[in-house]
Amino acid sequence: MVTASYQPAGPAPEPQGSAPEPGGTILQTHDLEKNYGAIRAVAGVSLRIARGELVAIVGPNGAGKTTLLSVIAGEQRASGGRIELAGRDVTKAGAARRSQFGIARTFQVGRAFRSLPVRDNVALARSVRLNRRWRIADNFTRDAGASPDVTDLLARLNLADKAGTLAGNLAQGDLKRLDLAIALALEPKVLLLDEPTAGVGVDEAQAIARLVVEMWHDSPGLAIVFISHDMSIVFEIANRIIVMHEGSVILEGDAEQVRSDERVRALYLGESL
Amino acid sequence: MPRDDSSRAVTNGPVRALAALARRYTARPDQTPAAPPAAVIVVAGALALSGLSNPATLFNWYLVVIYALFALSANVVIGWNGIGTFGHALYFAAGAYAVALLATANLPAEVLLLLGGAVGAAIGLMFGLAATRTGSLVAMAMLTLMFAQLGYQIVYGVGVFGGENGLVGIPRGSVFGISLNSTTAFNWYLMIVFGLCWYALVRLRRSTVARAMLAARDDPTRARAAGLHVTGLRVTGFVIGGLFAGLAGALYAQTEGVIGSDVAYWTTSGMVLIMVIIGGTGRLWGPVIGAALYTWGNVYLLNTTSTMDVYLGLALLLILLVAPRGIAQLLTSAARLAVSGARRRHREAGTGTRKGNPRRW
Repeated sequence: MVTASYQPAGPAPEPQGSAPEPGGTILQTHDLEKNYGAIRAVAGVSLRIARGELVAIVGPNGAGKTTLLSVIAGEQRASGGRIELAGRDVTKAGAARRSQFGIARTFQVGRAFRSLPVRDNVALARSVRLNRRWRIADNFTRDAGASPDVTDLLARLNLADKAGTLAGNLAQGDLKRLDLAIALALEPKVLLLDEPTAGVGVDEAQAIARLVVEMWHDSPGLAIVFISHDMSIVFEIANRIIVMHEGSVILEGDAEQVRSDERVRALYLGESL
Repeated sequence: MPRDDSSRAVTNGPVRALAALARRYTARPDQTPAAPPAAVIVVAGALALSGLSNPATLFNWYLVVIYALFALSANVVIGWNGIGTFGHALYFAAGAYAVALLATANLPAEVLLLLGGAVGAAIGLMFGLAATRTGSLVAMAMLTLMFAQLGYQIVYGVGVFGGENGLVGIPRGSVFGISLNSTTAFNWYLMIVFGLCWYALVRLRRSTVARAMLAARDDPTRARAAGLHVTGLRVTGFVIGGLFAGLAGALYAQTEGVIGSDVAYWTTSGMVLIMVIIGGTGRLWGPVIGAALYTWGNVYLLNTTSTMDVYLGLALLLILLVAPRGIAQLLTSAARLAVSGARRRHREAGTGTRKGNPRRW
């Protein structure tokens, strides 16, 4: 039943520049803003994410990375600007609608439905994808819970042996995998990952990073945008790196450009710009 | 893995067969048929009711059945949606008054019953749409209380509802030509309605929508990000809750023959809330146990003391301390401990092995 086995140890993920089917723009923001009173958390960000790209967003704490992700996912309403997904303006759509249009996300601290078993968490997301979420007379466990898609996904994310565990009883590493599994079960066009490798041990962080790359390879056209503080992982896997500071994008480029940039060095050495 | 409970049951006698049946119904509750238990509830309940000769006892058991349905309906909003509800008094009253006011229209009892349910669902929809405009669960509970009290003032103040004196002489009517004035017929009617509602709720509880409601309760933000319409799911809970509360209210009017505006008062919501807390929200039969304990506890205290609220408060405190997740959860945990203990002793005694049959809960 297991179609792909997840290897906890193995060669390092492939470096940047190997995006499958790079294509047209999938996600675009125009002068996106998010203000909290006088604080400009996101101050006019214009981004263009191509189909099949693996993009990292980096920057010091408080740079507005998570807020940007939340605004793109629809969890928070933009104060200004526009968001387009595959040419469609989704600025006014709520989080649930955007998720149906093809934006999925994970959270910095893994989030899942704690009173439900791991399998049901993923099966529910699968039911949303298959547009079955309003079925009122079906048998969820039999119809959705036993789906081979769900079993495969759990196996790929190394959660197969925890399928029956309540999500509330998972350790943080497993919870982050489950959070990712929920997002992947939605078969998104754009996957937003908020610190996928934070809050777990070094080995687990490496394993999750490898998993993300693996999933990206196996989903042609899937664009992934991830926030990370772990520069080694960022330099290793990202096609493109976006550097944010005080709500604005100060630099976009590949690992070499970012490494050699004076402003970025200053930022990460703690000096003011 | 292959399981061969049936052949083992045959070779080990009827006790093992019963154990296998019990295991089948406890191990994977979502996979077991829903109709047979509902049928057993109907037949056993009706026969048990018919065996009661004391009219007061019979009447109290009627109340247990009606309140069990009422508590089940409240549990949809409280347990599945995770929203405190004080609107339930009004859904219940809506069902009861619908039956009472339409009694002169000479409609069959089952039509009146369904109308009662429909009115309850309609009010549930109104409350749900209004209350879920806020994201705060506390504000939602307060809004339902406010709306319900507003409704109470209407029931109390508008002449057609009979004010404080309420409405009297509500006939039980007849179902498919069978008069419900006969006790036996009424027992069966009551239990069949309850059994159908139980069946519907078991099926609902297994559906994708119910699972989505639990997910939205656990983490609304994650649920939205996973494409679930959290507000829609909450309103759905209010409608389902209103429907079954309306049905319970309709049964109440048909049983009592008399209703007063007090059924719409907020204490009725408080009562059903206590039943749900006593029984617990985790299991479908939790609210049923809560309703039975509350009703009979109430009868006992009324007969023995003039300060029943003190004892009710103490009992509630005791339950919150000993079984904060309700009696159903306490019983389930105790049963699990007992079974796993028995298994361990069984294994240690070396009389048998349970290979290929791990714990399934």
